Order: sequence, then structure tokens, then C-alpha cells
Amino acid sequence: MRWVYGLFMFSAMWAFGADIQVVGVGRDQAVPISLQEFRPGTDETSRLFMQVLRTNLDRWGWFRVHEGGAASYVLRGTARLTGRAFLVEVEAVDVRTSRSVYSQRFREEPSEARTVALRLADALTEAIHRVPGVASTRIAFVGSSDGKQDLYMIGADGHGMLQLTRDGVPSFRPAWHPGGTQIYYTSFLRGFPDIYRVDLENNRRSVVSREAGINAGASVSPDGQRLALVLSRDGNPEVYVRQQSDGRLTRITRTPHHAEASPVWSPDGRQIAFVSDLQGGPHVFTVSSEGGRPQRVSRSGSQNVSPDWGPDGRIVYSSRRHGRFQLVVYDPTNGTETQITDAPVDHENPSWGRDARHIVYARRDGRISSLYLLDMRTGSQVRLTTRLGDWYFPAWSRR
Amino acid sequence: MHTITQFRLILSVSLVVVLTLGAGCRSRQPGAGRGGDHDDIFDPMNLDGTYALGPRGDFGQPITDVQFQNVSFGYDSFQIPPAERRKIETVADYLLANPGTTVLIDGHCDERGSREYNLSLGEHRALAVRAVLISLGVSGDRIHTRSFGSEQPLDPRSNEEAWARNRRGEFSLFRQ
Repeated sequence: MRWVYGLFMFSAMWAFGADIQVVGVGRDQAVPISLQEFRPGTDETSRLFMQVLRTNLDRWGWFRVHEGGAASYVLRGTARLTGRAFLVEVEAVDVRTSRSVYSQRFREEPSEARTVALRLADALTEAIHRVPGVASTRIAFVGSSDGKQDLYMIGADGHGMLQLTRDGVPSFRPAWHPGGTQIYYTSFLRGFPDIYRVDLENNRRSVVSREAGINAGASVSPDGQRLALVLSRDGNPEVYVRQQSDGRLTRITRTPHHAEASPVWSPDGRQIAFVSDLQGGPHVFTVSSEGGRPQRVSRSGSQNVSPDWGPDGRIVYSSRRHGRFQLVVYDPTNGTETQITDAPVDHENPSWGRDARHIVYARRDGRISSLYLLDMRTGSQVRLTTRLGDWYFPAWSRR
Repeated sequence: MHTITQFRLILSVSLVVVLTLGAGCRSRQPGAGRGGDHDDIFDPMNLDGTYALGPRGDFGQPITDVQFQNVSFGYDSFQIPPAERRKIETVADYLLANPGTTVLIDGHCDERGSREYNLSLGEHRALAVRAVLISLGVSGDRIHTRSFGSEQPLDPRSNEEAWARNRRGEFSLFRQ
């Protein structure tokens, strides 16, 4: 199989030119970690905790849970039910230096055992790899199992899929507030494309923008103070930035003969990437978040859409090449575009995980789309949505 | 919810509209006929305020016994093919002869490409039709726009014929 795949890739690289980099050819950087010295209780809660921890240490590519032999790190401690609380005391030790690299004590409701395991997996990733893990993060998305579109959410580990709205109306790309408790998105709830904010803490939804024409593409700046959005109130779809405090609007693009869509912020909040048909067909551009002259980013592909600006500064987007949408990563430091997928299906709506290693995207084969997680280093792809339906517009939370 | 029910009604009425597919609505190659600098394509869009949208407000009662033909568009284009202009003139004539009526233009796209970009493109199509109505003397505050992107195809099939039908501007009339 592997040989056939290699042959396919070779011919694909020959056919496409030299800009395809097969993800997954990098070496396995999973660090062996041992759980043998960790002592969980025999109760159901502790068992669930261990199972979730083990799965999520293995899943994200940073660690490999070692059953025996030489591990680089050893996890020590206990997990147990004490009265009404679930208590975890844990320490991670570097085997080579015998130094403790992480120690923590969690005391939570027993119902939070899964969450504690996910947070611990992320904390270990942070302590040992200096990268925020994604195990405890969530993915908001849009889709339907019966043809009626609604807003959904799912844990990055594929657990706990939740339907957030029951409207059955066209809905578009959700975006997280950096605080991780609010989701902005566009919905036809009142018959027109308006922007709404869903507050997960109090289960409330409020109107954010309901001007004449379209209100779409909401994206919250990294500092949470500004909202990028697309409005057509001045007679043409343009990118605007709105101050969250007083609602003051600044128009960022001025393209009377062209349509803009899909604004997203750079990690430092100084620039916005967006889609425009300024130069024939939709392509990805960047512009200062104060306004100015747009710079074209995507050079290859007949259409380039749905950009997302990653935490390490790279931009991923969906690029139409040989009749299919493939994912392409643009590196602003050297201006290179690298195609990272090649399967003969459409790869749409990519969204970066906060580890700058994983991307969630909508994989469309024919009429049905499912969400997939792509590990940029190992090339592994895992289907996230297992429920039957049509799922797209994934947005990965930063918290 | 009342509003949505109204629009569903209007929409289903609009579906009955007979489509005339002229020579100008054939699919174009990506990139062809774009940019607004072609003499044969009417493209009066500008941002000096003439075309700014008024408040959405209440449209009034739907008028269902008058129907107009859909305006067709080329692939990935919001420009109005010359052959389609006549359809818009018919709408302008009606609006000028019937004070107290307003029109809602729904912009639609075919299924290809990004849903989010299509939402902008559909709005651009509706606004291009609106600009022609304004140039024909209809006051801008009587013309509202709405984009459905590629969410509501007339024809669910995936072929050139279906895509051509689905790239359209639809008219709905209201009486204040």
C-alpha cells in the first residue's frame, strides 16, 4: 500500500510541479512517556480519567505512551475519589536528569474527570514541548443531519458533540472570541444574513450586526477588542473593522467593483487576511488592520478561499488545483506556498489548532462533507465527525 | 418568524417564474469578462453614496400576482450581461408606474466554490441589479437586497445547465 501511495505521490509531484510537500515525511517526534508509576484508583471515575489521558497523550503526536522499556519521561502520582471530589496529584519527571518538569494537583467534581485528563494532557505538552496542546480545546462548526443547517460544537478529541441552535436556516463560518466562551457566526435566523454571538456560559444569543445587505465573516481580533466583518451597507461587500467598545466602524477595503469575504486576523492583530476577486477569481490577500493597500498572498490555483492565520504566522487556505480544493500553507517569512493535501476530494474551510501543528478542515467527497483533523508533521488524518450528516465551517477554539 | 414565513412564501412563488436563458447567461471561463472595464457590460457601481443601502425596515405586504423573470449571471461574475438588462427594465417600469411599492432582489450563486465567498458574490449580484434600477430612475430606498449565496439552488443537480439556472437575481415585490 505504502509503495503504491509513494508512486502516486511521485506522479502527483511530477504533474503538479515541485510545490507539493507531502506532510508526514518528517520524523516521528513523539516523546516516549511512561504511565507505569502512576497509581489511579479502581473506581469508574479514575478509570475513565486514565483512559482519556492515555488516549490523548497518544493522539496528538507529541507523546507515545510507553508500556515498558526506556521512556524519556515518567508520570507519577495518584487519581482517586475522595468523598465528593475527584483528586489528581501528578508529577512528570525527566528520566535523564531525574528532574521534575511538571507537578500539579487537581481537585474537581467527579463529573469533570474527562476534562481534567484533557487539561493534564495539554499541560504536559506545554511543559515538555513548549507548545499549547489542543486536547482540551473545542471546535465549533455548521452542518446538518437532516438538511436543516445549525451551529454545533465538538471536543477536539471527538467527544461531546453538541447542537447549539435549532433554527434550520442557512448559517456560515463560526469564529471564536479569544476568551473561548463566545462564538460569532452568520445566520438567516431573521431571514437575512446577520451576525450573531452565542454565549456558551449563559446559553444566550444576541445580534451583533444587522445592517442592510450582508453581515458576514465575523472574526474577533486576538485582543478581543475589534471585530473584522464583511458588510455591503455602502453599496458593495467590503471588509470593515468594528470597535467592540463603541461599535465604531472603519472600512478596510475600497473595491467598488469587487467582492470581499472571509476576513481573519494575524496573531499580532496588525493585519487581516481576506478573500477578494480583485485580480480575477477569488484569491487571498492581506491588508493592514488599519486599512491600506492589499497584498496578494496566493499565487497558484484558480481560486483561493477560506484563509486562516495560524498562531505561528503561517496562513492556510483552500486552493483550487486541477479541479479540486487542496489545502495550501503560505509562509510570510519566505513567501512560499506549500500544498499539504493531495487526495482527489475537496479540502475546505481549514482552521488552525493553537499548537500550529494540527488543522481541522471540511473534507467534501461528492455532496457530503465531514470534519477531519490533519497532523502537519505526521500526515495522519483522523475523521472528527462520525455522526451521519453534512458538516463544514469548522472553527478551532484557542482555549 | 413571521418574516421568514413571508419570505418562504415569496420564494416559493418566485420558483414558479419561467426562466428565459438568453445567450448572455452561458457559463464563462473563470476570469473572463471580469473587472468592469468592458464596454459591453453595464457596471455602474461606485461608492460615492448613491448606492448606499438604507435601513432594512419593514417591507410591507408581499405582492404575489406580479412576477418577473430572473436575471442570469455568468460563472463567478456579478456583471449584468446585456441580454439580461431588458428584464431589469421591466421591473423598473413597474416600480416607476406603481408608487408605494418596493422590491427585494435576492442574489444567488451556483454551488461551486466557497460558500462564504458565494455569500458576498450573491450580494454583489443583487447590488449590481439594484444599481441598474437606480440608473433607470428608481429611488434606492425602494430597492432592498439579500444574498443567499449558494444555499438555495433552483436546480439541485451538478451540471452546467443547473449551475446556469442557479446563478440568478430574483425579484419580490411589496406594497407599503
